[in-house]
Amino acid sequence: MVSLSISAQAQKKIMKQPVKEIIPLYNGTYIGADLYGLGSNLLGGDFLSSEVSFSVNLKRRFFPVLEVGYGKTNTTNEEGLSYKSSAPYVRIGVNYNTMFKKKSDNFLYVGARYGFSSFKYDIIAPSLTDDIFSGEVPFSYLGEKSNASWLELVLGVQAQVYKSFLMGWSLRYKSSFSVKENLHTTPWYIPGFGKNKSTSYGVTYSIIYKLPF
Amino acid sequence: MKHLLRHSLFGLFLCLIFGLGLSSCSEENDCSLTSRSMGRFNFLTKSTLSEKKIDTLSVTALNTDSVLVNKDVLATYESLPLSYTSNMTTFIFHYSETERDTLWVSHQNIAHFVSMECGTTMFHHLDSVRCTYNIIDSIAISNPEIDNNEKENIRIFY
Repeated sequence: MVSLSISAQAQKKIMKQPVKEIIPLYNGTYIGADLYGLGSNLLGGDFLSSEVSFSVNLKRRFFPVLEVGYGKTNTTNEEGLSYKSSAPYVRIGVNYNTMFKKKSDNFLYVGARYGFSSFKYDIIAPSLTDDIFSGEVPFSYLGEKSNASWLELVLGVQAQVYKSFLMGWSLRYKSSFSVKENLHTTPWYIPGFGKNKSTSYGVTYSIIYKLPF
Repeated sequence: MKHLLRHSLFGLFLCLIFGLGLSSCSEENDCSLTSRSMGRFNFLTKSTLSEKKIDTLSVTALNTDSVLVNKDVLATYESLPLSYTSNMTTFIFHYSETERDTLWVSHQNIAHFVSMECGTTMFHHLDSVRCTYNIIDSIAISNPEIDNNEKENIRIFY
């Protein structure tokens, strides 16, 4: 009788131990398209950018990310100063999903990116007028070459909205790492980064598709 | 579908708020860098290398009717403009009706784009400087780059 009760207790103990879930390394690949870069331009912004992202779900925690985009601006201000540039850019980095314990396609993540763009730009401005010694200096610099790199910290959310489709947004803090300046010009716009400043902020709002394999 | 709507609206709301915040921040521009850049001429006493106060100084230049400095009293430096189109700017320092020195400043003119908000400006690079020695003892370039970060460019010793 005693031995029976001991064995029942041992069995209970075994039953109570939680089953440790084995998460496979590979949990899917995601392809996303950013809508914010297109939308902000339609709403009157100076910059147009379109971007595609690729990420892989590893252990539901780590998401190596590659973002490839194309940034464009063609702006003329009231004084007749015009700036034109269009070029691709690339960002590489990783997201860390804080909700990795939940077995779903809803993610709250933090991440980091390294961004790079090599680009050309044209600047045409009204002549510089010397109002003391008189005379004018024309200002036209076409095909100025530059490149820039930057770092981004990312906070974002992705949620499943229909079968394999997800939507997500992210907020980004960007910090300029290097910008090549030229003798007569400094780039005003950096594709993928935005206005040439030491720090910048960004938003993405994406539609994401989870590949069926 | 509910989920989709909720998520989309939340994201859109955040984007709008964040976007508005970004655009309002981007309006703040410091365009002080596009005011005319001036060469700064500091005056020093040769024997002591201390500041020299010039009793009265007027400055004119060739190729302009403008009086660049009009009877400045006890000046220890002057900030003077250089020509945008010529590689030589000639200044005449008038100490009195009869006492004057002429300075020839050789320079390159570098037109520079600052930003869409602030426009363009002209910087200069000093190549050489020479002068007459009626009152001046000697002259030297201390910093050849003239931009909008005001700093000493030329030292004049008396």
